[in-house]
Amino acid sequence: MNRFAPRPSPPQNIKFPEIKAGVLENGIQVLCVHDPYLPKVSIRAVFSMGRVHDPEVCIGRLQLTSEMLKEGTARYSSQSLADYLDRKALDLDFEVATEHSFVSLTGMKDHVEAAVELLAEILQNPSFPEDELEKVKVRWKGLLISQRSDPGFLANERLLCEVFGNHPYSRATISLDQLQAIQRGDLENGLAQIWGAGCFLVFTGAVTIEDALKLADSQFGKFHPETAPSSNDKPLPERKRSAVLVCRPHSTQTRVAIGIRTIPRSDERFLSLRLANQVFGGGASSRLFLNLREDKGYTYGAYSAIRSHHQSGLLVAAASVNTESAVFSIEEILKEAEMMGRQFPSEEELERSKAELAGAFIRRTETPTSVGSLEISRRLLGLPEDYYHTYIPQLQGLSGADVTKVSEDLLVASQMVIVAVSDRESLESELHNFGELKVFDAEGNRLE
Amino acid sequence: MKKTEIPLICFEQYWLENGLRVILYPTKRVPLVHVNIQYQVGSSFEEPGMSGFAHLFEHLMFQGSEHVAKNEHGSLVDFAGGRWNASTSKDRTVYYETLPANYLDLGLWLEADRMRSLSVTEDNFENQRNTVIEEKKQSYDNRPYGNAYLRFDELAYSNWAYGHPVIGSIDDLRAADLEAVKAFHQDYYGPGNAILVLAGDFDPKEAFGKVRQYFDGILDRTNPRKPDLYEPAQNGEKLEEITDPLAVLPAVIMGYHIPPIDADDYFAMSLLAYVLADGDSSRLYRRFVYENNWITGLFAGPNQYIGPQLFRIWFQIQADVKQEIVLRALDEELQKIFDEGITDQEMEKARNQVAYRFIERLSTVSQIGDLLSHTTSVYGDPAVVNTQLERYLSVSQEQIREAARKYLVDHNRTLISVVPGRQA
Repeated sequence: MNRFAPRPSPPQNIKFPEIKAGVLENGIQVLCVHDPYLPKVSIRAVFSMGRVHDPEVCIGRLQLTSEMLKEGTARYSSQSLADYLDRKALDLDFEVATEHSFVSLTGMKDHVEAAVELLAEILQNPSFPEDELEKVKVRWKGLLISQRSDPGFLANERLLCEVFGNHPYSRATISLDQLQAIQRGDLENGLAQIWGAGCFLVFTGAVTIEDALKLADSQFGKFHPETAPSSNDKPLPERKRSAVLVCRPHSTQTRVAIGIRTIPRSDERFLSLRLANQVFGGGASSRLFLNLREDKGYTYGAYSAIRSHHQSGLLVAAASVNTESAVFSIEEILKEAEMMGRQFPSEEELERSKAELAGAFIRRTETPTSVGSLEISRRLLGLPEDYYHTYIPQLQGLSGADVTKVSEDLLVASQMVIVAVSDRESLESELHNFGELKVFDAEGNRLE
Repeated sequence: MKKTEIPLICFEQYWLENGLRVILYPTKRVPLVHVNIQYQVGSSFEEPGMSGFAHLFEHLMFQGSEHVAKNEHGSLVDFAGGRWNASTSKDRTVYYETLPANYLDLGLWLEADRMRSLSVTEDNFENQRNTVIEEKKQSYDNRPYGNAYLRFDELAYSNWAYGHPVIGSIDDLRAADLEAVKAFHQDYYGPGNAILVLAGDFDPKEAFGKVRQYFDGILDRTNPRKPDLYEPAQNGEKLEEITDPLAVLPAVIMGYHIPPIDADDYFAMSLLAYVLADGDSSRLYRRFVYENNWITGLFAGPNQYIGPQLFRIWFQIQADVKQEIVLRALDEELQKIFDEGITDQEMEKARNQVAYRFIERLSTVSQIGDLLSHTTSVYGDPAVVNTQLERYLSVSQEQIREAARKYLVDHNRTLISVVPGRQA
């Protein structure tokens, strides 16, 4: 520690905001994070169905279903719905994530009744007009084409395919053919699928639990969707090294992404892995950043991140690097990964990484919306009720040995997948040194 | 929405004898404190041949000072569980730390140490130069449309001060030397050219005492040279076509000169942006996307520079659609606004949207701290933070129509067509 730096005054107790809950007669749970500071309310309907739950023959169904929810209902045409939302400054948002999805409406508290009514209308009575579906497909076609110019997207797409093989966790996007194949009937099935997994409602902001329950009951209380939970556990491929070059002509840098399959969130080693990731590449004081940027100047930033799913997880280290230094960068990332499993982190690294994670957690308690997001994650992942109340003490209790052990088990450099997105000429010959090399074009076609 | 429901930002303001302007916003909402220090210097202060220097200098501020080693600034904040970063714009450079409230001293001490003394070696300088070159590649050169964005300001502004990019040119970055770093620090990085904002959980009297403890002893040696931002009126449309080898779809970037950020017409044009392109019911979205599927992305709105502004419109076009069709339709939509103005419903929408976005910016202590800092530098008075929304809401439909007529005309327009170099 710097001997000149002033010491902190005694810390304040961190109190995780209270989350109140109730249940409608039909079983729909209602949660509320009440905070009247701003005259704003957000309502989220959360479903435990995501991209991986699309049937193999209809990939993209949930994403298109959610997009089509705003294209018309029994009471509103697409245009009248847009007029209504914009006039009241209501933000309608959809997210279809890997294993869950949500639909939310956020706006001024004066419009909370209208927002709940509209959310119910969108979710219970969408009309999925054929002509709007065709328009949405044309719109999506442009977006699907456009994303193929982004090196970050190309690296992620290929990395997921290499790490997860045929498992649905490998799905990063949909193809133009898959988009065209989706029909109106698929959307109705998609909606049934969303509701089938069960739903809970989360109110945050200037609304009390009492009002939230009343509003929810009036709009969602009489709705009795059929529930049919499905399991999506499928075999995962073995972890093994491969190297992939995605050819993106005229690239002026190389996007490097190195990843490995890890553990599901329910694994008891998860918090140790999160701490190990923080030491490895979680921030601007981590090893990857200090090595690749501050020491070598190869990149503007080098980071790692973890994703956790029901059945598995993923760790990715990524950087956009000077192409002349791309091979050195890959070697350095692999070297750092190996070191994680060989040597205990220094006391300073360990304590700083814990503080970074604790600090990030405290900042996420600042707004009711982010507290609501934390609670949604906890419920979807099946974490204990006191998880956030014990999060910081549990983090503080981890040792350097915990970090090293989980790194030794999971950050296995020899099993990591290496993806580089760059000009073909610049890198192809050198990437062979990292293992069996597969070469793709930016459209996702394998090249000889 | 009732006006009384929007929280009033109750701040205190002081000046130290060395010129440091201090703004304190205490709140007990969350045990965090946001330390935000703004130096009133940005890329518009650079001389030709030194483009990118203000931003490169921002990187150097993390390379060490008298009592803080290279990279230790971030590490100490991380150690406290804080968050830190910095940003450089055309007008200003901002550094911040958001810390647990009991680490207020640390944030102040770190900022004071690098204001008082900067310690940069040749090696660190070279390293950060390379980092910035990679940043430029990542943010612009290796990104579709990136260089068209950089070119746009060069084409639109006759005055180099706003015309050249914040990130600079690689040639200029390579030519920069360590001597210039020292001079830049002395000229701009002193208390007399800075605004310090604290927002969060602290006692204001005690916090001001701490500010004095850490900053009082710093002598002000600054000698800031204010840039001449004068932009002559544009008297003819500027057009350019750029082939972008990384783009797969065509795009159009255009901009119209509009008055500075404190002018009434700036507020009118800001509201017009909501009518034109915010939300699925906006005029351009409805015609270009919903009815015709001509484009895949749309943006319209003014910059937030202090000086002469541009009202920008950007759209990405579907591969099989001709740009002329979209531009003709844009002209028609603008003509409708010139002739008929905007409807009552559109006005209600724009007012609700602007109020909602304003409230969104008050969600966290970091946002409030940055808003106070920005407002102070732009309007010269942090109190504007509490009256700004009123000014948006008092704009009339006729003002919007008049402003549109005045500024959204061809001879005031700059337009870049981006032609994709890759086939979709």
